[in-house]
Amino acid sequence: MATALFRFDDSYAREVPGLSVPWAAAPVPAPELLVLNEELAVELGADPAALREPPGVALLVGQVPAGVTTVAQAYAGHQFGVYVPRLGDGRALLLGEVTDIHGHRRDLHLKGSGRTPFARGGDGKAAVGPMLREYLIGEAMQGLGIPTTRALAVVATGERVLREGAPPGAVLTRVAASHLRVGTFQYAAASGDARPAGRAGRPRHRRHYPEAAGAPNRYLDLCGAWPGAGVAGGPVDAGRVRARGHEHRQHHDLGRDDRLRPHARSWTPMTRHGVQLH
Amino acid sequence: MFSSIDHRGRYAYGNQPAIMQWNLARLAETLLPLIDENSEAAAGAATEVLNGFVGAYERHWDEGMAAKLGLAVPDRELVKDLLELMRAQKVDFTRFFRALSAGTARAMFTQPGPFDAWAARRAAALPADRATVAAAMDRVNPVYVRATHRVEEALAQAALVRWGRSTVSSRWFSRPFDERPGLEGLRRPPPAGGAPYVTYCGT
Repeated sequence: MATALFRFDDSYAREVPGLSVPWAAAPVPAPELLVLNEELAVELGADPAALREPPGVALLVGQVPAGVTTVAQAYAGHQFGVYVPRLGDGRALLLGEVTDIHGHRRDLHLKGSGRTPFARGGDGKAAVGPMLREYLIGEAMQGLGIPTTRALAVVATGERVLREGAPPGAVLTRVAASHLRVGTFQYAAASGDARPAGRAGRPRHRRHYPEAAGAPNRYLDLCGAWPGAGVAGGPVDAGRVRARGHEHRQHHDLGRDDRLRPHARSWTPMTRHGVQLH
Repeated sequence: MFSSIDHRGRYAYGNQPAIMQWNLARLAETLLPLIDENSEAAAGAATEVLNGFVGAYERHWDEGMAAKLGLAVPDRELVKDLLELMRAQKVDFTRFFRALSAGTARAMFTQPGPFDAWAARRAAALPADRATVAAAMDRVNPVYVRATHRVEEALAQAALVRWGRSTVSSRWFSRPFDERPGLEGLRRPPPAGGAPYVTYCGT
């Protein structure tokens, strides 16, 4: 039974309902587990063997037990320098929250689980290749000691997706300490309530750090770690940088520059929205 | 470039700290009403924290690079000159630091003269116990990184064997600081003249 695999909580859906939309994953015609991160499964308190069984694989593509609410998360953010008030998970879902063997709460998140109300042009699906790439690169970042999301599994769907060459489709299950983004706070703040960002932050405070002022230091753990490894993290925008600054996600789309161009630009003073940096 | 539609270099290596600080500023803006009822006081307090980011980042960078070079004390000029030299002579970043601890870095430079001059400056700043220095460097300088061309090779291979479970192995990347037999291929630099790597967000 799926309930024996993970004991899901859905505090995000319950406590800050305005920041997500309940949404179910698209049905998967012929799920086949391609790769399972057994070490991570154990860390999450799950039995890897059970995850390989049909109920486990079904869970990994979003077929959750009754009573658990999966949600698409809303967020705002800047894309290519332009502020977009409503972005959100277009092809991803928050599957649920679990407590790992160290007592830490972790999010399980799906990618390629079908269109959500936040989807724009796409079909909401993902191809096998990019999902395997995200799996591999997350593990590489982990090995280098760089805070990262990690993939738990890649499951082939048995479908072909609408991409060049009609590649086989897949769903990625990934794990992070949280999927709160800077853009989550922007979305909450723009809702116009008196202290909306505070409500968004409340679960975060409980889960992560009591001190909001600690965020810059967490960012340093992240941003300060990767240049030394000779890696650029790729798009570091409001959708991809966690609010607590502890993880960077979406490694699938990142290249590594083999040509070195250190400090291509100097620090840029910024004056926006009343916060000045010099 | 790290996203092939990023023509302005927003995500380039040297720009990452600045964009990080920019993200922090956006986060801070949303929290202003929680910081202080008075908006000017809130902005002032947030700005003070945010302005600390540059100095803190630079300390992280200096300390990180000092560790990579085996130096007990950060030396920003030495680092800057090295990176310029590596860029000018197209020296692979990852392989250089392992070669430096092994004493074979000179061979990576087509014109070793400028490297020799740089190496003499570094040698003067190194702690006396060179074996300890080399061992410490190898703990922070990975042998294997997630070289794009190797990941793509792995994925192409996996596609051929029906996304073969056994060939896509995260073991390649799981212990990047230890040299291991059978993984020599992962250290290879990308093929010269290879097609430019094209990648987008959300592919």
